[in-house]
Amino acid sequence: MLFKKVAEILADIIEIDADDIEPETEFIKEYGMRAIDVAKLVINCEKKFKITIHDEDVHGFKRVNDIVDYIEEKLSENAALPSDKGRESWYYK
Amino acid sequence: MENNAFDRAFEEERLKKTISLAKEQLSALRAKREEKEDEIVYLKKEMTEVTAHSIPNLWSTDNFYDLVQLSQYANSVSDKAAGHDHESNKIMTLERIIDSPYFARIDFKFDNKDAAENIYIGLSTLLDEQTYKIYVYDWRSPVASVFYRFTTGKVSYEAPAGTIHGEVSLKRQYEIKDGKLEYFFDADIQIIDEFLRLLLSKNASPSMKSIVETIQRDQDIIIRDMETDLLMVQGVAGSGKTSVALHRAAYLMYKGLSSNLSSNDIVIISPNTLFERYISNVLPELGENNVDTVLFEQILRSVLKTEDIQSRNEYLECLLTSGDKKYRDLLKSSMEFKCSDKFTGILKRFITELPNKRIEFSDVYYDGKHIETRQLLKMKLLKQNKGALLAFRLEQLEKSITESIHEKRKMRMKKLSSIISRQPVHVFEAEEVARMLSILESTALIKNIRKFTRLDCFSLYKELFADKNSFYRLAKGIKLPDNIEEIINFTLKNLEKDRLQYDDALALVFLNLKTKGYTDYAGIKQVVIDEAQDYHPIHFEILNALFSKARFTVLGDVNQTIGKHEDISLYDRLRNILNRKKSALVTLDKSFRCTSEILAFSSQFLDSKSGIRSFSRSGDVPKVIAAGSPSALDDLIIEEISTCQEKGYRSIALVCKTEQDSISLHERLKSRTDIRLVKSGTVIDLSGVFIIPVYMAKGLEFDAVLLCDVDNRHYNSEDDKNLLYIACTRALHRLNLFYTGDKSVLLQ
Repeated sequence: MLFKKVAEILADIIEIDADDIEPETEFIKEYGMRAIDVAKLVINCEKKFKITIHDEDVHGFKRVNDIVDYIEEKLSENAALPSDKGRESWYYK
Repeated sequence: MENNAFDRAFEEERLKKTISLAKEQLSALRAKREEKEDEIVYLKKEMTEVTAHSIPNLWSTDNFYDLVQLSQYANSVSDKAAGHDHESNKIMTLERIIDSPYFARIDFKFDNKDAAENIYIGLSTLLDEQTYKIYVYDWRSPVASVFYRFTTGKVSYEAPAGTIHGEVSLKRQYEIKDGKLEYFFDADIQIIDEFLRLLLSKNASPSMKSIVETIQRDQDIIIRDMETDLLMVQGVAGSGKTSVALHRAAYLMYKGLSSNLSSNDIVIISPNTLFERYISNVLPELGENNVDTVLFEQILRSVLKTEDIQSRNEYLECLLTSGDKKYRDLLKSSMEFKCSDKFTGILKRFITELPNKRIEFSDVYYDGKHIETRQLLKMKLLKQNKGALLAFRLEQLEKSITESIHEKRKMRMKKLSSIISRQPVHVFEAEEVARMLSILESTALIKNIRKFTRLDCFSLYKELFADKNSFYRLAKGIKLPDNIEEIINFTLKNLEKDRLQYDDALALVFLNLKTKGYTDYAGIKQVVIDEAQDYHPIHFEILNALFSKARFTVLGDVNQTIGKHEDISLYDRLRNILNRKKSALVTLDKSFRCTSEILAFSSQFLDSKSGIRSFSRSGDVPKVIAAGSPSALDDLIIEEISTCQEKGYRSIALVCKTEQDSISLHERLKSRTDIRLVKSGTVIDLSGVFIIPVYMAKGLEFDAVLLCDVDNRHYNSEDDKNLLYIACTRALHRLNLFYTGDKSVLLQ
């Protein structure tokens, strides 16, 4: 399940138990996440799901489900594209 | 007509048989259910006992068989539980059948058969499982459509197997309550009004019968009309408009069902929450799940996504209770202006000039480079398809900007990384830190871009009033009210408050719909609007934008307005705004609900005496009763309530002018008699004794009405005349008016 995977990535960064994270958790507020943690979250999600997250979209991630929805949308867009075009790694590297 | 004894005995017998069959099925079902409940409990218990040991190591491959075992138990428990739910529904249906199994019968002779069959139609099917005889047909079944769609004679209907032809020799309707046959009668057309039904079931003379049939025929035309896109009905108080509206909804739904449309395609716009309850009383076929009833306020809240909006009732309460005449006039003129087609005209011009004049574009820089200039951005926007919604056009513009940013992002990231790598502190997190910087600067950038690509309707609306010069420029050629300056200042002051005024909320919704659109109601095919006289041009503009593809049925009575004046030209304005291909206006001028005495009394509050034709049903002459003191007034009211109760009236309403008056009357009387107070938002069963403000009583009817406080302080203006008319025409059988002090001048 997408949510579980995102929760695991998040839990890994802020070092808490993934089971404590809920879809409606406002993670930045609740866990006092720093900007650098958010950047890590973005990078790790991109690697895990092989997608591109645009930097100007990041400020819209408030609840865990916001990220999940975003990834879902990207994955369905990618499904329509030829393979390995998913994460355009040249973007941010 | 008198039911002859033979028919009566036949129907009684038939009812008894039907109910006993339903009872038999019910008790069998209940017994079976008890057995099953035990079984489910047993299975659950067994499942935990047998499989408990295996749960901890379930996911190791060695224990595959444990998993299988567990799932077998679980499946059978969940199957049984699902069956259990299904049976609960069945039990509810049977209970309903026992209470009132059917409401109509047709005698139908299939073309290939010799004898006619009696087909009974009810809310759900009842089948004898031994003989396969159908005791009751569901009103949605194909053969039942004959009852709704034809008079007696040759008919046909569509069934899954093809078109079925036959002949109907009888159409009969029943009133069955608590399993008892109250009355029945035969009529060629379906008689939908409870009043008319009752009349026909008693000793109606042939002339009476023919009057009822003409009324019904008039109503039938409205109910069954499928050709017209916009059907408007002007009906006097008590002409059965509301039941016509509801039956039209049922009929349209019926037609919809046969062409596989879901019932959600119909929406009824109703004036208040009381109405919803009333609907299910009048027409059981419509049930609560079948048609959506929407309050106009709900539309405002969902489009604006806020709860902080003054409701129409709150506005009316403000208008009716304020002692300051100047303030009252300002409230009223502000509402009148902002709901008028003049103001929607100004708003439309305002919207047209938004891209050119009101959007403040700014240059966009990224990675030290100029990517867009404000002039270019404006040109791009103006060049786009002007037919599309502005919000959509701006979204496209934003997308084109972000796309060009994306192209430059690779270069930017390189730069950021090289800056970071020169700082030894970040050496272990270089990628993350660079990304963090990019996110931070992109966030600031997009927020700047969205200052012009996202519309903030509220600030735009405020700007419209704050910039008076351009307001007058936009209003060029439009006749503004004399106190327009006052209205503008009043509006600006109100917009500073946390809670939106009703009229500003309407204007904001209009602005939102015309710039951003709203798709939640896009699938609606039929809209029924009741009490249309209370709506203004802006309401209809909003409804038209929301339900752009729907057909409309609009019902109203221009004599029953509150807080505004209305005449028959309402329907022309409506026709212009809704602008449908085929429209028609039908007038229902026969009032048959109130007694002729109540109708004659009420007509003194109408300006034009023409129009209303009464239906000869007589009762007591309404009295205007004076009391020497407030406490004597209360005594008289209590006395009248008990008189009404002795006469067996089921719904007795004490109508007051405002909610404030209602509350104080309730405080005075509640310890002396069993009485309820109806306030905004309450949903109660309309039987018993209650107190209700006149604007909430609109569209409802009561056996007896006690109109309180008809003194000159409460009722003295032209607007008050309308209120008196509305209050008096709510009474079906008995009406009396009470006051202390000076009698209202309107009653002289």
